[in-house]
Amino acid sequence: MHDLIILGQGPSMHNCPFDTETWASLTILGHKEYEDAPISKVFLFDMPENKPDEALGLVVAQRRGIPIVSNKGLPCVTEAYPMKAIVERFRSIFFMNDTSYMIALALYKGYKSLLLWGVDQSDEHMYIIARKYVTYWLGVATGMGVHWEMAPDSLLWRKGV
Amino acid sequence: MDNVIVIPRGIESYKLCFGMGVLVGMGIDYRVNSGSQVAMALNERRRERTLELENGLVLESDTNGVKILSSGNPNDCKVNVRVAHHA
Repeated sequence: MHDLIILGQGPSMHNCPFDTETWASLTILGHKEYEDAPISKVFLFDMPENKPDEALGLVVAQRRGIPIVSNKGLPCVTEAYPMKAIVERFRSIFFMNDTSYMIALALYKGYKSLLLWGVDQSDEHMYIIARKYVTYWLGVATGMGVHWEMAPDSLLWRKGV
Repeated sequence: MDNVIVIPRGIESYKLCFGMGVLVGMGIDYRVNSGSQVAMALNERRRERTLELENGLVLESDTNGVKILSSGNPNDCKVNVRVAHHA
């Protein structure tokens, strides 16, 4: 049993078991099928008005009282992302997508076993750009001895891309 | 004495980033003396010519994109690794 599920927006998200604490991007709550999903925290690193799904997710998170984690000083944020502390701890600012921020926070907080679902990247373009940021923090996890696994149909290690 | 890891050119950046992450996770300080894949991978978002962090990590790239070490195999990127502490 893993300590934590980190849920991304890729196709494999639909098979997420939700059998332990689960973190996700705020955007996921904007999908109707996840409105009532047992998500413990959501993460926000874009301005909600720029992404319709995120704006919808924000409404759901606030209605359900799900903590909203962000490094942006927005009124909707209920939990500040400890960016300074994480940067000092790991001496790295290598972040891009929500998944990279989530993995870093999980490592900072001492989670020992992570399971990543839906970390397939949202489309081909994002997959190529963001993959290195995810693999970097998975490398940090590996170096720390933190156990992690990808969902069975994750594309993260797909060859030839 | 520093340990030197020689990274062949052409390695996919996401694999290289994974390796760098492992070093960070193990608490190993490292310095990159060449541009090549490492600087391109890690410096991308900063878009600066030189990125220097307090832990001794220095990424350098010239206006042509890649600076290659003059010693050793010019096709390789050298990474000097100093064991500083463990996480």
